[in-house]
This record gives sequence, C-alpha cells and structure tokens, in this order.
Amino acid sequence: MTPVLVLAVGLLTAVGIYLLLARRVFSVILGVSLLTHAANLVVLATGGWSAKAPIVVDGVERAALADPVPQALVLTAIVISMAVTLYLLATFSAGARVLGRDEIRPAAAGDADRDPDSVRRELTGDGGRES
Amino acid sequence: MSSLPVLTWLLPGAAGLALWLLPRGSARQLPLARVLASAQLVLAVVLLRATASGEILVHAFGDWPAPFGIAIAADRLSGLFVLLQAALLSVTVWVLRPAAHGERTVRRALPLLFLLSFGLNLAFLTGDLFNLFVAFEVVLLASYLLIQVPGTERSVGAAFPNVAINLLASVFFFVGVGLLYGQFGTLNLGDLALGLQNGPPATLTLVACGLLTVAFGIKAGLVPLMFWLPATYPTLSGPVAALFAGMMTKLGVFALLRTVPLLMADTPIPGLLVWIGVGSALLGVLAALSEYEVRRLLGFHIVSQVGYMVLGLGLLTVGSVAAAIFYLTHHIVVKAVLFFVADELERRNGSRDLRSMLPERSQGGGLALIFLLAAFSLAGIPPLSGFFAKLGLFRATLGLDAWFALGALAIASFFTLGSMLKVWRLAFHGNGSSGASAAPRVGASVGLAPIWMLVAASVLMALAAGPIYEFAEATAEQILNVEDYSAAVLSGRGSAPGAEGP
Repeated sequence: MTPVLVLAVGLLTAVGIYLLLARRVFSVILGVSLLTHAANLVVLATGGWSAKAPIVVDGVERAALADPVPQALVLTAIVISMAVTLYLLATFSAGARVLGRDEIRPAAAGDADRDPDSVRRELTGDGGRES
Repeated sequence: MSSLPVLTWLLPGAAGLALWLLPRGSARQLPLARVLASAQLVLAVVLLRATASGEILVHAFGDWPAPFGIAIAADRLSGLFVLLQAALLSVTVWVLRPAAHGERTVRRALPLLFLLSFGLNLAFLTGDLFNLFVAFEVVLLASYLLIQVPGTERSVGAAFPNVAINLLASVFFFVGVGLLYGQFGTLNLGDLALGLQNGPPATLTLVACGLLTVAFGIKAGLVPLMFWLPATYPTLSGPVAALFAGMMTKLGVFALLRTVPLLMADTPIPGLLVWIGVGSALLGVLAALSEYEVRRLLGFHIVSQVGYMVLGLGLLTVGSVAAAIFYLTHHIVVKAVLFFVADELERRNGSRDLRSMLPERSQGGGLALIFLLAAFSLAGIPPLSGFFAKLGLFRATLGLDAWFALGALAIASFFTLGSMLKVWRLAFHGNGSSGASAAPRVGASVGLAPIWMLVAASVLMALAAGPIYEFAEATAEQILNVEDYSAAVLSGRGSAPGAEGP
C-alpha cells in the first residue's frame, strides 16, 4: 500500500505546486486544495494503513489496526480546509467582480501614480459596494 | 486544575459572537466592544499576576489524563503575550471611529477583531501542538477577513497572495505535526519534548522541525519568506493594521519561542535562526530605506526587527532569550504606535506616499511628538525603551563572542534611524515646497489619547527597565527549562512554586 501512497502524495504535490505558481486565481485555489490533500495523505500514512476499523475487538491484533489519532487530525484539517476553500472561492468571485479580472497582479507600490479619488475612498473605508 | 486560562481564552470568543449577533447598525456595538476589550485586559492582568510567580497553570479538558487529553497551559510567556495582545486590542478598539474609518469598516471589523484575539489567546495558552495548529487557523481566517474588510480594489487584490502563502505555511505546519506524531505518538508539547530528549534527532524529526520552522518563519516574516508582509499591511484599515503589526508576526515569533527550546534545541535550527536573524535585520532595514509609502516602510521595519528577536532566540542562552523577550515587548508597543501614527498621517494628507505629504497637514495635536518618541525608541536612542532592548541584545551577543551578530545589529540600528529620519523629514519637517495649500484631510481625526497611553507604556518600560528585564529573564529561564514545563503539562494540574490552582 505504501508505494501507492507515496506516488499519490508525490503526484498531488507536483500538480499542486504547478497550479499554485499560475497567475490565474482559480488555478491557485485548485493548487492549494491539492496540496492540502497531499498533506492529509502524509498525516494519514503516519498512523499506519489498515482496512480495518480502528476499534479494539477480540481476535484482531493491535498491529493490524490503524491509529485513530491521525485520522482525527486529518478530519479536522479537512473541515478547516473546506472552510478556507469556500472563503477562497467567495474571494475569487468578489475579486472577479471588483477587479474585473481573475489574474493576480502585484499591488501598486505607492500612491504617486494612482487615482487620488480611489486613494481617498480607501483611506476612509468607503470602498466597494454595501453588502 | 485552573480555569483562569480557559476563561481568558474563551472571553474574546464569546465577545466576538455577541458583537456579531447584534442587529446591524446598532449604536451599542462600539461601546460594548470597548467594555469587552477592557474586561479582557483586566483578565489578562490577573493571568499575568498568577503566572508571574513561576507557576504553570494547567487545565486538562474533561479531566482526561495528560498525553491523551488536550491541555491548556499558561506559563510566564503565555501571560506576557496574552497581556500584550489584550492591551493592543483595547487600544485598537478605542481608536476605531466610524467618523474616521468608515461606519461599515468599524461594524465589520469589530467581531473579527475579537475572533482574532480568541485565536491568538488559544495559541498563547495551548500545551498541545495540534491545538496550536488549530489556533493558527482561527487567527488566519479572522485575518483573511480583516484584510478584506475595506472592500476596496487594493484590499481584495492584496488578500489573495496573502491567503495563498499562509495556506502553504499551514500545509507545512500540518505535515510537520503529523510527522512528529508518527514518530513519538503524542501531540502534547511536554510529552513531545521528553520524547525528543531520548537521543539525537532522527532524520525524519529534523524534517518535521524544519517544516515547522518554515511555517513559523512565514508567519513571522523572516527573511527569505517575508514578501507577503509589506504588500499586505498597507491595504488594511489603519487601526487594524496597527494590531496586525503588533501581534500577527509576533504569533510566529511566539511559536518559535515555544517550540525551539522544547523541540529543536538539539537540531541545527537554532544556529540557522541566528543567521536568518542577521539576514532579516539587515535586508529588512535596507528595503525600508528605499520605500516611500509609510506603511510599506514600516512593514519592512517589522521584518528587520523580527530578525533581532529571532537572533536572540537562536543563541539559546538565558541572557539572549531574555533580551529577545524584552525586545519583543518593546517592539509590539512601539510598532503599534507607529502604525497608528501612519493611519492618522495618511488621512490628514489624503495620501499614503511620503512624497506628497505636507508638514502643514501632518502637524497638530502632538502627532509629531508621538512619532518622534516612537521612532527614536525604535532606533534605540538612550532614554527610551528601544535602547534597553538593544542594549540587552548587544550584551548577550558580546557574552557569546558573536561579533558578526553584534556588527549586523549595530548597522541595522543605524539604518533604522536613517529611515525614521526620512519619514520625519518628508512628513513633518517639510520638503521645501511649503506655501502649498493645506487642504486634504480625509475623514475625521482620531482621538490621540489611547495612542498616548501606548507611548506612556513605552516610556514606562524604559523607566522600569530593571524589573521588566528581571521578568524577561525569569521567563527565559522558564521556557529553557524543558523538564519543568513537561512535568507541569503532563501532570495535568500545574506546577510548584506557589500553591496549586483550585
């Protein structure tokens, strides 16, 4: 089972990093999700790999059981990453609406060459639409 | 068992929820937030007094025995950080004003600020590595949302790279935690520390510790990993940026202060941290020298000063760690003051760029004096708190014959003064173009009284440098004394000296 797991982690990480380096926001979101999956698999593997339920019953050797704690950790991590992915998707759609593009560009380094009106709105917290 | 740390942790969580549930536009939200923040500050003072004796307050949830249950443990370091965080949150909430920062910003930011504080408290008080991860996630979710609160093009644009880099850090952190669990079968920090003392670290342990260090380094804004920091802070709403500048990077430093002595003392990581500290101190300040946007400039200064602290931690002696803790205490206060000043400065001038600021607009109400005190303190001019912070670090490096570190810190301090003088010259002293109209002022002025309180705290820190330094030394001794911490956390009911908790 381990070689399959190693391959899966390697593949997920490679694709995740490739997508993370893209300029398109949506690719970055996908990349982050894949990297999280890779991390989950690594942690899952530390608890041993067993097809049996992690319940101690007579007749089943302890060594044949998987450790339930990493599974609990991964479950927590999945919940957190789901919340973060939802947040990212919401940001993505808001960003596409506010910025009119779905590409990551470096923010302007100073105010010198920017529209004074938008700077003013940013400073008073009066940007964007009411929601 | 002691319930005081749990109470301190839960209060801001309940407060954030209450503020969020108030009907929209309720006039009670801001006063309630101020009362709740002050209540948290009082609790934090009580907690610091309880931990100052050297007692480690431990609470095991559900009374589960130690390595299986989840422990909340408050030692001196936790007490100090909780107090600093509560103080900064109070000042932020008192400075936030609808007339100055926009009614919508204030309404949205208040519950999130308390959520942030809730996560920070959990991180400072936990005795469990996975719980630290969860606390980081709570803090990060709150911070993502706070970055977006202004709702402007710039804040939405800045949010994304920030979230992406922080998620990467979370992945590193999570894998590091998993690998450590895989080897030692425990997540309790005390238990892990005992497991690691059994012999030289295995390769996998080194990998896990390296992953944790990279994750904390990203949060702390250490040198090869800091590029998100100066890009994000200028887009935050002013007072929120001050809280971030004070506390967010220091969360990374806290995690390093907690985990390096416990888990990584036998690895090459402390030695590496010294060099990273030197690099951060120098590169951060050099980048700051070339900046003209106030808050970007201050952001690069954070990178530089986090370098000082990490250097002190990396040397791993009582003197150097105590110096790092004193430095951190001073830095949190002074850096927040500078960001509050930057917020007011930007709104008085209607611009973030130093080159378009006019002294006629900037001066008034003692803002220049506040800036001067904070800037000189940051640079380390003698009667102010920064001088004692740097003196401590210099003495620690001298004692270890770490001449390169001493030289780097001295050069970095010199450039710090240089870039602070640049801000002074362009924003307050005039750039020769006086006579222009002094029109722009965006939004109402904030009351400077809460900021003066922080300045007073900084001055007090200089006057009481002796006692505070003694406290820092006691804290350093406590965090370097791995056995006591392990024993306290594992016993599940706190430690001697002093009576046991109720």
